[in-house]
Amino acid sequence: MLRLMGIFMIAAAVLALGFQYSLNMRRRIKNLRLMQSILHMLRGEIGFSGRILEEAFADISRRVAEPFGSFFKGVSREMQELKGAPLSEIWIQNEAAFERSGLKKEDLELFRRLGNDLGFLDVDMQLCTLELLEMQIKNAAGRLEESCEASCKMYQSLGVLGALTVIVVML
Amino acid sequence: MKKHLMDEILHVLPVSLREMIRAELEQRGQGSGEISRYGKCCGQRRGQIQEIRLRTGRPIHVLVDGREEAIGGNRLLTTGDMQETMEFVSRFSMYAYEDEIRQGFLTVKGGHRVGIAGKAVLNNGTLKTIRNISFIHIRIACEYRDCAKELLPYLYENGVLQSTLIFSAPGKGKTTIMRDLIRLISDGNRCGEPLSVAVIDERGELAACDQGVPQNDLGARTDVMDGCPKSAGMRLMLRSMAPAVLAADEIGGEEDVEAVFEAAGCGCVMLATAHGESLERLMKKEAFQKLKQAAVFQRYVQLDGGSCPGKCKAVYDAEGRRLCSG
Repeated sequence: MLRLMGIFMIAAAVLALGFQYSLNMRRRIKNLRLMQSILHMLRGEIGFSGRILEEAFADISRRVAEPFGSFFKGVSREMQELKGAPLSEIWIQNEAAFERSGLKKEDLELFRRLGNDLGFLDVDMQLCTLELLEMQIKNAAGRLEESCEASCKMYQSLGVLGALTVIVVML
Repeated sequence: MKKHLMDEILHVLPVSLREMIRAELEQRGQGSGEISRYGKCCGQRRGQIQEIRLRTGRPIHVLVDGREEAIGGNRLLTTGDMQETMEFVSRFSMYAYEDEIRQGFLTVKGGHRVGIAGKAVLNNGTLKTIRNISFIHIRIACEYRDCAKELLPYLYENGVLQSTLIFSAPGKGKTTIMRDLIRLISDGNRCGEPLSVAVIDERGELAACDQGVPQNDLGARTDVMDGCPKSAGMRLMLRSMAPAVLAADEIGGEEDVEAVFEAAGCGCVMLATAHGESLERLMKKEAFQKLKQAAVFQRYVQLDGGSCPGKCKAVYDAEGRRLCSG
């Protein structure tokens, strides 16, 4: 009986792993699209309203869903405190908000470029940086979306197959 | 409306310099805990830091009673210190201060003016921006409540406020006295009823707005247009707020003068400041000649300046007759 319960639990874990991978992928795409719309908002805040970054980030934090809401809230708060850290450092310190976002290292590195590049030179430079980044994120999200259905199906099928294999082998 | 003067100043300086400046401010009684930026009389400013001057390759200097004193021993300022300062002064957003940089100064939270100099970048002969900023002067703004009180009787005639131009050489307290005058007029005083005042605060020194909210006390009946060019702001406020008094700091350009004429034509009382050491020198400028001929201003206030903001040297009427001496 105990053995059967163990087998069932391992099989369930393997099955859940497959579905988790699939869910992560969908979450990653959703957050990349959100990232893209944030860049669009930032372009408006900088190009049209001429707001400084801490104000723009604070405003965006109230308008976007998690994890970006708490990320921008944290960045804006630390920028206001002016404790001496540069923006790039503040950015990295707040990246903990993305822990369960499904975003991968390469996505975060792309997003981190905002923290490194924003603020300097003139408005045109900011808008160009944002436009370029928005395009790159759009492409990355587009590529993922194209393969999403197939990949998700594959992760789920692998989960089911894995679970069955565990049951067959262990029984 | 208590302010943390020390925090406002320290936050725009590089971390490595903050302790040094903090000690200096504390030593001069300008930074103890929740010290208010309000002073009661001009004497309180004696011995206090009026400006912090940073120059690459040089020690930090502070301006006290009109004299520069070096502080911080052998610590020389580096290019990195300047970059860091500019990053904090612009709150990581240099792009948002393009126009201010072109004018050579920015105003930071609290209304403190940061003057900058470096390598000028020209485009077709006009200044596009300033790069390699190597000289930064931080002028500490102070509110002196009631510093304009003694002036009031000369600015009213039969209980009616007269249009007034305050003039002096730079750094002699024009903005300080203007700020207090706005508050006294807006809240009402012994010479006249409270009046609605519209302030066009192009450089953010009068109201020191933070996200649109004035940090300095400009009175209960004051509306502020922050960061707007004076001429456009005056026209806009006239149309939208119908003020009894219109106040603008440092007028001088042709467009400003045209807008002043427009405001005066609408029956608005004008309060303005301008650079000028004496009335004669001021009237050498064509724009002010026109204003005088049209008797737009009924009072001209000349400031003595120095370490006593609000100390007036003379008040003149529209014809240039001296009404009082300081």
